[in-house]
Amino acid sequence: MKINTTSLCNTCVYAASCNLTSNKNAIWSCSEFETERLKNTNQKTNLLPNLNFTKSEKEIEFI
Amino acid sequence: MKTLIKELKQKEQLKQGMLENVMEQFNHVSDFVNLNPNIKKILSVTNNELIIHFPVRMDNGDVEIFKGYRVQHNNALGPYKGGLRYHPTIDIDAVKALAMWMTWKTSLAGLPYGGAKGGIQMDPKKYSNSELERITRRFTYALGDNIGPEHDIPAPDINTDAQTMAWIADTYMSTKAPSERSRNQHVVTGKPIGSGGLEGRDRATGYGVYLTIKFWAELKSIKLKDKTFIVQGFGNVGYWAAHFLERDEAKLVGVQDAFGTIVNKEGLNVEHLLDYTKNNNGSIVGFPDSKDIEKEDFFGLDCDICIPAALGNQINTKNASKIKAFLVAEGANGPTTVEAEKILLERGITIIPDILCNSGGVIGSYFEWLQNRNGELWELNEIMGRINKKMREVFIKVLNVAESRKINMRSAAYVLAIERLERTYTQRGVFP
Repeated sequence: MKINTTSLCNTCVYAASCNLTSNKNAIWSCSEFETERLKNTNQKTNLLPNLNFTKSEKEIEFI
Repeated sequence: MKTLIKELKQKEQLKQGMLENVMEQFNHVSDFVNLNPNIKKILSVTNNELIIHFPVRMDNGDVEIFKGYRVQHNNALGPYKGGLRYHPTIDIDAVKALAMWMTWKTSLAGLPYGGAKGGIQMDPKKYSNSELERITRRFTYALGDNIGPEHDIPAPDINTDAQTMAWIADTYMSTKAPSERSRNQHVVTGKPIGSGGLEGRDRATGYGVYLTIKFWAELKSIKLKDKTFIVQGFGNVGYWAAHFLERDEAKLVGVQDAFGTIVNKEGLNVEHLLDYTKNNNGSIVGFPDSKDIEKEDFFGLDCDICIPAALGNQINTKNASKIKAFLVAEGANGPTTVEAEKILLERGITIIPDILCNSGGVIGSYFEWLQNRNGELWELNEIMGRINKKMREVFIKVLNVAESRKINMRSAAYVLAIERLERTYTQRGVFP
């Protein structure tokens, strides 16, 4: 599947099988958008590790 | 080579498309309200466009250069306000369009804010947590006083969250003298609750969607009890809107997410469905007592209220004539195409436009900012009450304009937003 590089779907983990839309070009806002998480989370420089309180929430301010 | 040129042209068209759409909407409304040509000139362009290249040390010791943007469209009504997104597709035109849309949105909501947008052109999945932290902090440092609690207030957007905002706030505050630091906490909104964030910010947008439906129903003397509704997208907005509607005894009969489309005429329990998705990799598919249907059949489902709360251009010429709902509440941004809107309106279907329907989020952000600014901590009930009051005011204004000028609610919302800005410029003039 070819997705235009200007679309959010370009980096969304669900893009290949997404049920919401067949037109995956020019998507600039989506409630289901999910990107693969971090390549390497072993290295922690944060003074407060395991700040899980933010990971489950999609706190997006819709424009 | 030909393919490459074709791709580049297509990319260019899509980029321009977004800015063109926003400009077209603005031109349409400004003509309709007979906007003063001089004010139109001001609002047609952005105040500031900042492109920053900044270096960040990667985990392997190499240095990578990133491109960050901040576009400040207009601040006639107050400090610039808008999200920061981290994504490879971000570019100056997209950010300009989104910043301009923020100006209309904050103006309509009656907030003392202007419009802005920004972000970093990068793919976050390629970076570790510590790299993301350094990228965020270095970008904040590079932005310097181009952001500020009384000047430009970023918020979470695509690929940025409460953690990102906490890093920005901490970095920004660290650049100030110790005695000044705590006075700058409201440089960003969408922070974690323990760091000045707002209780209930997670549900603000969905709650706003529910409220607009409730207000409309009240004004039309329609009871929500036993009314059926469908939701596209079971993310933050879709879930919370469904949650509050269910509390008013409305019945969820269809849901569509990235994984599939499920229906049950007798009703789908919202809380049970959320619990189910948590144990099913986020998917709604296979929910007990539900039936899977084809994705194309979703918008044609028998229901009273339709809530597109996922993505744009979902209600189009292909499905607009099949919609059976009498009310469409746009929880997502731009879910209805221009052509589809005409079809829906001709069929007597009311549309609560996105700029109004999903403004609960930015109103919630305003309350977080206000809470920090006043050195207060508000309780959830108080916050929900304030969002309710604010949204009711805006909703009634939009409905009054729509009815008095005999226009649809989307046009009425834009008229209100642009006229508020026009009034401000007319009163204060242009320096010198």
